[in-house]
Amino acid sequence: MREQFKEDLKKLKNSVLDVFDSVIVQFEDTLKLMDSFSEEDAERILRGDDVIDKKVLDVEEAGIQLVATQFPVARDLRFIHSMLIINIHLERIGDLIYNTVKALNRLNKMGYLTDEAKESLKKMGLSTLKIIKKSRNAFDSLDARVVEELPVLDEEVDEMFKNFLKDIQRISPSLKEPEWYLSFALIARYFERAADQAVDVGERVLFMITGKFAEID
Amino acid sequence: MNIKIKENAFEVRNLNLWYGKHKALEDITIDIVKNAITAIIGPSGCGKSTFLRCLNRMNDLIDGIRIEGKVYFEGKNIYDEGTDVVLLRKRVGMIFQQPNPFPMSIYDNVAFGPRLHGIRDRNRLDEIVKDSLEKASLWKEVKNKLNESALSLSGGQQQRLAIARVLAVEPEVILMDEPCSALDPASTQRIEDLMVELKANYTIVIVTHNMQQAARVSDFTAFLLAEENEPAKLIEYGETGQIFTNPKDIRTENYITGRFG
Repeated sequence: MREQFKEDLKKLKNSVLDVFDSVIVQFEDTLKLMDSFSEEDAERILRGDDVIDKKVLDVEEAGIQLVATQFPVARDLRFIHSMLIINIHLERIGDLIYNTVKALNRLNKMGYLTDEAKESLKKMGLSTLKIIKKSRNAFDSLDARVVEELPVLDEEVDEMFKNFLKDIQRISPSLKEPEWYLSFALIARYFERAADQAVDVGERVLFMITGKFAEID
Repeated sequence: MNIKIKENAFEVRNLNLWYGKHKALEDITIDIVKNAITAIIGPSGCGKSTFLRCLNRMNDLIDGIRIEGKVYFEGKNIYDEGTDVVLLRKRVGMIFQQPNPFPMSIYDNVAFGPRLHGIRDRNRLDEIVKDSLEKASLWKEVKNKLNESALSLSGGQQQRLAIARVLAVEPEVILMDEPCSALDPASTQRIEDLMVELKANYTIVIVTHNMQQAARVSDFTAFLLAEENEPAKLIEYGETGQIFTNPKDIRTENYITGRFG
């Protein structure tokens, strides 16, 4: 029954996974900028956000069409609804990556992207990337046990963020440079927010599975 | 604090029904909430209409039928000896898939029931006919042609006439068996709007194959299913919002999402 609809749902899920993959590649490329910053690579990542936005819109359009034509209910409705929301979370992570690269660019131009600063940011970025990958895994497998791992990882990122803010004064080249201070703190904040978005994806996955809205923390 | 407690129109308890040796319904227990719309859904042949007809003893008219269990209507078991079945069917009216107007005028169709129940006064009948047609959202369309044949009306109008005919005898419950399956979308919409208006004063139970209709109009949904060589059972019953977003039983889930049936 409704073979075509089943096929369409599978396609929609694959499209969301594709957005996930694009976001993950963007994030990995951003972390590579911390090893060796190049304006060219930074520019490429910034352009990559337009590609993500386009994919996000395509998912939205496909989802709305399924709602309009297939009258989904129960599990199907929850899946489509959740996929559209996960799609938005991914778009926001994409925006946070964009903002991160912009901030890195500023720091680089000012000559403030020191090794210690890069190392400190990269450590937090890797933890954030781990959560994003885990949320992809949760969405792909629809496994509640994977979702349960997300808040534990998020706590680590939150802790890092707190320590980062404490550490920022120590590694600051000059406290008289608010631009440095702000950009540096913002990047950490973007990572922390991206991790939160990934946890929100996990909440949607739980809703897909159980039909119940629950906050995981 | 203002707490509204839901009252039940029907309390069906352990209802079993046989057509001869064939058991069609098994152990149905359900409350039908007053002044609400309850949709009965399920695959063809699962006993939805049979169940509906149990609520006003329409099945009594079928040979070889046997019923066990209790159906309390306003607290009284309608299968108790001494039940006035004619009065029961007046209180619990029924609308069918085909409106089947009587081959007489629009006025006489609506006045038929009240006359049968002894009302002869012309002014009173005029009042009932107007009131019933207004409640059925048909008055404006037919007020100038009350003496024309009911057969001249469109399918959608005929179905609203059937509703007016039921309303004319002042029922408390309206049972609807696939009332829109022969209607176009616009006429269906009018009937659905009408059902929502009517539930303020009446309890409505509707059998429908149309999942979207059940989701759109009903407050509660009951899913009946007859699994292979088994009589129909009530698989799940709950608030419509819950049934259509998060059904508890996988069989309900599979049916409403079109995975079988």
